[in-house]
Amino acid sequence: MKIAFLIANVYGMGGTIRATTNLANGLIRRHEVEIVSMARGASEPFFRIDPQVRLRDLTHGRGWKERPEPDAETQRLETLPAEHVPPDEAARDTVFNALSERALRDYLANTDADVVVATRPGLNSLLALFGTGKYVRIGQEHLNLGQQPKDVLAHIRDLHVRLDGLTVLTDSDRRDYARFLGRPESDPWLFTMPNAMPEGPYARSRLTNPIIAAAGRLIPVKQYPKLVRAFAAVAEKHPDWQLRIYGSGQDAARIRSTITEHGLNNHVVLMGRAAQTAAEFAKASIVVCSSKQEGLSMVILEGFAVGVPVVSFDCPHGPRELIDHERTGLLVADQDVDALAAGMLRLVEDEEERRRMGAAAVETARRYHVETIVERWETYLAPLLARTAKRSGLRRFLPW
Amino acid sequence: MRVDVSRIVDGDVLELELLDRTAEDAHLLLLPTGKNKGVVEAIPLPLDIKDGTAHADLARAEIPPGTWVVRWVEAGKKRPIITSDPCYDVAEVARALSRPAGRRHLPLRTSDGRLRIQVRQTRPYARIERVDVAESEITLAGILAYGPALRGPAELVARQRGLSGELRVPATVDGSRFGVTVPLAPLADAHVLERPHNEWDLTLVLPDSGTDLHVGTHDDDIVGRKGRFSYPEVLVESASGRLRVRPYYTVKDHLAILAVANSPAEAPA
Repeated sequence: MKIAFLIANVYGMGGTIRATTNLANGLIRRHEVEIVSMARGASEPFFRIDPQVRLRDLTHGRGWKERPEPDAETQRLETLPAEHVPPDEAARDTVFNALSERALRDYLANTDADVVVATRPGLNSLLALFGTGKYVRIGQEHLNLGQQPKDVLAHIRDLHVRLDGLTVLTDSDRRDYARFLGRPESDPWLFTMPNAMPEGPYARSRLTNPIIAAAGRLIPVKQYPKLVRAFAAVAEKHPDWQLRIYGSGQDAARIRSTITEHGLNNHVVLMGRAAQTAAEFAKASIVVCSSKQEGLSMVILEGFAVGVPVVSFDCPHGPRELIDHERTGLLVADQDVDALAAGMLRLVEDEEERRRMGAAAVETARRYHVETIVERWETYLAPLLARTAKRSGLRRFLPW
Repeated sequence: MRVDVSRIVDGDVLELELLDRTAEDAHLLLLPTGKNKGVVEAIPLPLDIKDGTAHADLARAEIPPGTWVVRWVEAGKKRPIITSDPCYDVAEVARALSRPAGRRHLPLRTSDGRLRIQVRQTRPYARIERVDVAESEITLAGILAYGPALRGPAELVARQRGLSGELRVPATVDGSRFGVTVPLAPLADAHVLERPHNEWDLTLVLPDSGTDLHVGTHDDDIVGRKGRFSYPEVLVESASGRLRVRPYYTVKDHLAILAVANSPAEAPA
């Protein structure tokens, strides 16, 4: 099987990029895999991609400092808006423009892939509009339904339903999307497909270092200022503990200002981006998630993989599906900073509980091992491939 | 060989908790890498193996500074050591800092889980553990790293980088801990407006020990503190006008103080 992933910019850092590269690196052992990046945003991808995975860049991103000099037609087209992408989606990611849209249409018309998977709403729209019946067309949603703006919701309802399937990260999401689309919850068109954890070997935290870790882009939805405020209660009682936040982004100045406001300059470290988040988490004793919303959080899974319990807001929807409260971590009242502080303090003060939860967390992480998720994809795609083969009149041999 | 724990105990002994069975006559082989590759010979290292735990005395081997690939050698066959240990232990760092200067041995875990050993030549320095910025002063607290024999009295010397300004402030030394409060008014008075930034480099001087210690923070797993740790700035009045002053880490993780005129100007992060 040849499977192609459509992604905005595989050279960046973010949950969708990490999830897609992890999956591609797992699928490549048995299949042909191509990652199609709407724009190239850097010289090298931030996350490791197996050299056997083919990388195809449709355009050179305008933000890429080393990009080749564009010709006049390229310059003209890349400043024109994409016509078929929801405006909110186009505003969120600059890779959508007339140039990249045209390049993607060409790709979709000519690809020899058996399966094309789009990884965000704007790409789902383009795949639904311009994909062909020669291959299986799958849309992926990495965001909760509640996070989608109105124009994206309209596209999901009117366009994405033309796809051969839509995958979401959690069962809660599946229920929400089914309700929104007026489909029964059991409809196989909507499928829960968790993100995959890359193959190890993983380190295992000793759970003795006085370090609490968090990771993710420094953007408003992660609510790191709230995390810093909650951590202030930990630092007051346990000044030897440190909070490390991994990631980069627009919110850095706001987080720094909160750090200073609470006098935590010696205790909170903005660590920058980490290519190997799990290895960094293994040095910590607690991982914390302060997001307003989370999909199937890779951060939580990476904490689990290295045996670290996670304290998280009980926000929609991912944390609740991953964290078994009091067994693998603590789910605290959503958006309650005092509760987040109390959760961290509880684990700071009880090493035995950290050990018990850490051991159980490792078992949870195994369920999301890339091999398990690859098998889940194969099982999911088999009937869709058979149907497409019939539709296109091609003879195919399954299993692969 | 897979190991669950790979850590340094008693200062210089590598302890490995083994997950695979092994013959008792197994030993380690350290292979030079980086700057030592092709320059220094591989070093065989005997092991004391008992009840699933192996110990290797690294001090006795007198390993040259550098990073070393570690191989498990058994029945004439060499194989890498895959460790589950994150190889970073805050308590071990504290123990190492309290020892005299010399060679420090650190286990490292590569991105694919392989064990390496790093050997560093250490020398004493004034390790910052806390920085507090107040309206007119900056207070520093820390330890005399790798200097258990060092004793006070001590003073902090702030030198104006590239200029002649110098400020000396008495510091307290209590055992291995030191503390000092730097008044900002003298730094402001010495400010040279012609330079967009006035940086003040810090040294802790212990005359009785004949030692000048650079002031900074090293030896944990955070290399590159500039931009990762940030401290508030304060406005200080001076004859040159109002200045913005704050402590910051240099690219070498030394702590310094920055003063700039209170007008938009490019400053180090």
